[in-house]
Amino acid sequence: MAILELNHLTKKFDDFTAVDDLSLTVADSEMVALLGESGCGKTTTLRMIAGFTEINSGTVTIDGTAMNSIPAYKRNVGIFFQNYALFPHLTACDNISFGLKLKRLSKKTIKEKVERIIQIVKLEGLEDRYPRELSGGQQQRVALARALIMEPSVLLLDEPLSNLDAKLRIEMQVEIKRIQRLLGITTILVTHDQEEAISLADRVVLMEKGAIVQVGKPREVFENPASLFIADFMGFVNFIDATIGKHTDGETEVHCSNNQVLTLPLEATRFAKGDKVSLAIRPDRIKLAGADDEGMLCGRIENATYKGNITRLEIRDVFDKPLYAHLSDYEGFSGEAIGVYLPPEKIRIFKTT
Amino acid sequence: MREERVGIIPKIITIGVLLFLMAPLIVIILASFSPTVLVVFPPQGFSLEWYANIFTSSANFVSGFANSIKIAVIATSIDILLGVSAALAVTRYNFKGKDSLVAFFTSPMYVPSIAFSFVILRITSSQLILSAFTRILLGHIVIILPYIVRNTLAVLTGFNWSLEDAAASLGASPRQTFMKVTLPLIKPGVMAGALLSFLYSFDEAVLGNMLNSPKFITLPVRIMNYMEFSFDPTLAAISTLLIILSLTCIVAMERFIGLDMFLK
Amino acid sequence: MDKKRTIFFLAFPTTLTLLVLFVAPMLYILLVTLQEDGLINYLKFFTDSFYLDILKTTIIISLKTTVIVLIFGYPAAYYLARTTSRLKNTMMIMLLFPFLVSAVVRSYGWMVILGTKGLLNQFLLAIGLIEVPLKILYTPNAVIIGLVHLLLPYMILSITGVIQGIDQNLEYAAASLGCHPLLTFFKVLLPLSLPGIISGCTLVFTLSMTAYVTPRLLGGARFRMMSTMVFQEVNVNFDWGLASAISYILLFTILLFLIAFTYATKNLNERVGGQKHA
Repeated sequence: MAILELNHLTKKFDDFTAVDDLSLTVADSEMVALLGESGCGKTTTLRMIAGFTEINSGTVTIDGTAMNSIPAYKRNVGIFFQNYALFPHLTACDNISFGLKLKRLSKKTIKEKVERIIQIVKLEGLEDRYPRELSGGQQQRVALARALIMEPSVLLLDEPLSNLDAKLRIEMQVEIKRIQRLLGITTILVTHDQEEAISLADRVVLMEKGAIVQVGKPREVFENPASLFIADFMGFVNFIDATIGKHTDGETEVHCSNNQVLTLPLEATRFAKGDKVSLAIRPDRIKLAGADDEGMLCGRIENATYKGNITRLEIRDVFDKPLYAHLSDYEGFSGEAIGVYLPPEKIRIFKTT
Repeated sequence: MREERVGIIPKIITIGVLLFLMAPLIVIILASFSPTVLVVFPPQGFSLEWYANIFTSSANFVSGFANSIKIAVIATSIDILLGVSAALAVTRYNFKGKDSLVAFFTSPMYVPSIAFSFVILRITSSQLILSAFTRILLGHIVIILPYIVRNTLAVLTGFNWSLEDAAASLGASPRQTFMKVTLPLIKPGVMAGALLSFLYSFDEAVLGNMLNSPKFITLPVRIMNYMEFSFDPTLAAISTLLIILSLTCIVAMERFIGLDMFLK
Repeated sequence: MDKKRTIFFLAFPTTLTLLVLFVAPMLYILLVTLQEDGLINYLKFFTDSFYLDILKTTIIISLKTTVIVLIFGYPAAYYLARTTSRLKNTMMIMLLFPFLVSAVVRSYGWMVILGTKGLLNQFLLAIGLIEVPLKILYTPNAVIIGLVHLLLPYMILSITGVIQGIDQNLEYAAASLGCHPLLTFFKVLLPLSLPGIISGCTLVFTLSMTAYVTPRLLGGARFRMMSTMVFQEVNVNFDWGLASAISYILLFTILLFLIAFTYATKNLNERVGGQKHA
C-alpha cells in the first residue's frame, strides 16, 4: 500500500532513448497498466522501478522515499516475471518462503504466512512439488504467491497472462484482480495485450517510443483513443480516409472515397474545410441491415469468416478500402448485398497530415 | 526411404570411428594379462604378474600416482575458484571487450605446452628456484584453467538470469543470491568440469616431463620413462588401471549429470 | 557502477594469475633470449634446411591429421547428433572416455599394435596378407594415426554440438524439394555447420602442432617435430638458446594460422550469411 511516483524518468542505451522523460503517479492501491508494443519502453520502466536497470535521470519515489540509490534487493518491490523465474531447485513452498527466510522470521511466522498465501492463491496440496511438476497455471500462482507474501509496497507484473491458454487466461484475470483488491497493493502491470490491460487495470497508460501518449480509465482509452496509432493498437480496424467539407448548422459534411458523403455532428471549430482526416470505427460498432433499408450505405459481403462467437464480415463497395464488421449471429452468404450504418457517436476522427 | 540412405553411411563410419578409438585401449587391457613379455594374439594364457609388478617395480609407480594426484587435486581446486569467477564475470553482464577477455582466459590452450614448460624451466633454474612440485603445480594451474572456463561458460549459457533478479526482488543480497540460487544450479556442471580438468592434469605429461626432478615424478612420466628401458606388460597393467579410472569417471558423469555439456 | 565493480572483482583474480604465471614469463623469456643471443638462433633456424624441414614436417603432419579427422569425424558427428538409437549414450561414452586417458597410454597402445612384432603385423602375417612385417611404427604414418586417435573426439564434439542446433526439418524440407542427400549436405548442412567445422579444425590443428607425447613415442628417436625438437635441445644438446627460438617460432606459427583461420572465418561467415538469407 503505497503511492508510487515516477518523475521525469529517462533511460538511454547508447544513443537509443528507451524511456523519455516519463512522469506518472500511481495512487495507493491502484492498479495501473503500462500498455504498448515491444520496444515502447514499458519493460525498461518496470525494471527501473524494480532496481534492475539504472536510472539515467529522474526519480522513482515510493511513499515519498526516492529509490534511485537503493539497490534492488533493498527495495520492497514485489515482482512477477513473465517467465515466472521460479527457482527450479526449490519446491513451491520453498520458493514462496524464500524471501521470508532471508528476513530471518521465526519458523512459526513463516509457516503461518505461507499457509495464508497458499489459500489466497489456491495452491493447497501442491506445496511440496517442484516447478517442473506443476502446470503453467500452477507455476504462475506460485510466482504470484512468492511476490505477494513479502507484503511489498508496490507490485510489478510483467506480462502476467501472456504464457497462458485462453481458458486459463480468463480464470487468472479474475484471480489477479480479486487478489489485488483483497490485499490492496499498489500495482503496475506491463503488457502488450490491450485486452489484458483493459480487463485488469483501474487506469491504462499507453506508451509509445518511451513516452506516455494517453492515460485514462479502460473505457476511455478503449472508446476514445487519443491518436491514430493508439486507435490502431486498440483494435479500431477500420480507417476511412476522408476530407472535411461544408459545415452547416452544427453538422459537417465529410467526403469519403467512392463518392460517399457522411454528415456528422461536428463543431465547426474542430476541423477546417479541406482538412484531410481518417475516420476510425470499431468492427463491432458498425450496424448492419438490409441493403435497401433507409439511411444505409450500400455494400456487398466479400468474405465471411466464422470465428465461433462472432462472424467477421469483409464488406466491399462502400468505400474504396474494405470495411470490417462483426456480427454475432450471421447466416448469410458471400456476395450478398448488405446495408451499413456507421453511428456517428462511435466514429473517431483523426487529422492526418 | 531417404532417411535410411542418409543413415547408413554415417552409421558405418561412426561404428568404424568408435572401434578405432577403442582399439588401442582394448589391446592394452588384453595385453595386461599376457603371460609372456611379448604380446601375442591370440592370447596364450592368463597372468596377473604384471599387476603385481606395478607395486614392486623399481619404477615406483605408486609414488608417481600419489604425486599426480597431489598436483591434480590442488590445481583443480584453485582453478575451480578462478575459472568459475572468470566465467561469471563474462556471462553475467554484457560489456565491451567481453570476447577479448574470454579469449584471454582460454589462451593457454593455444600455446604449445612444450614452449610454456620450457619457459618455466628457464625461469626456475636461474631467477627463481622452485621445487619440481611447485613449478609443475603452477604450470598446471595455467594450462587447466581454459578447460574449466570453457566448461563453466557452457554451463552458464542458457542460465536463466531472471532467477537472480527474482532473488534480489525478494530481498537477497548479491552474495545471498549467489549462494542460494546461482551456485546450487551450476554446481553439477561445474563439478563435471572439475572432474575433467582433474583428469587432464593427472594425464598431463609435457610439463611433467620437462619440470620433474629425480625426487618428484608424475605418473605419466614414470610410464614414459619405463618404456625407455623395458617394454613389458607392466606398462599394460598400469595403463589398464588408468583406463578403468577414466571409464569410471565418464560412466559416473553420464549417470549423474548426463553428457550434454560436452556438446557445448 | 555496481555492475562494473562486480565484473572487476570476479575477473581480477584470474586475470592476475594468468598475467603473473603465464603472460609475464612468456614475454620475459622472449625478451631475455633476444637480449642474450639476439636473433642468432632464429637465423640459425631459418637458414638451416634441417630445422626448416622440421617445421615443414610439423605443419604437414598437422594438416594431414586435421583433414583425416574432419573426413571421418564429420559423418560420425552427424550420426551422433541425429541418431535416436538407444545406444546413443553408450556411443557417447565410447567417444568420450578415450578423451580422458593420457596420451602416454594411448600412444603405448598403438605401439603395441603397430610395431614390427606388434599385433597388426602378427595378424596380417598369420592370414598371409603380407610376407614381411610392415614398418609402421616409428614412421610419420604412425604419428598421424596416433594424432588422429588423440584428436578425433575434439572434432566430433565440436561438430555434433553444432549439428544438434540445426533444425532437422531443414533437411526434410530440402528432401521434399527434391534434394539428393549429398546435395542436402552441400547446400544445407555444410554452410550451417561451418562454425563447428572451423572451430574443430582450429582446435585439432593447434593441438597437432603442439603435440609432444604422441610424436615422441610413435615417431621414434629420429623423427622430429617442433615439440620434440625443443625437448631434445633442452635435455640432450643443452642448447637453451636454440630451444627458446624453436619454442617461439612454433608459437608464432600457430598464431599466424589462428589469425588466418579467423580471417577466413569472417569472410566465409559473411558469404554463408548471405546465402542463408537469400
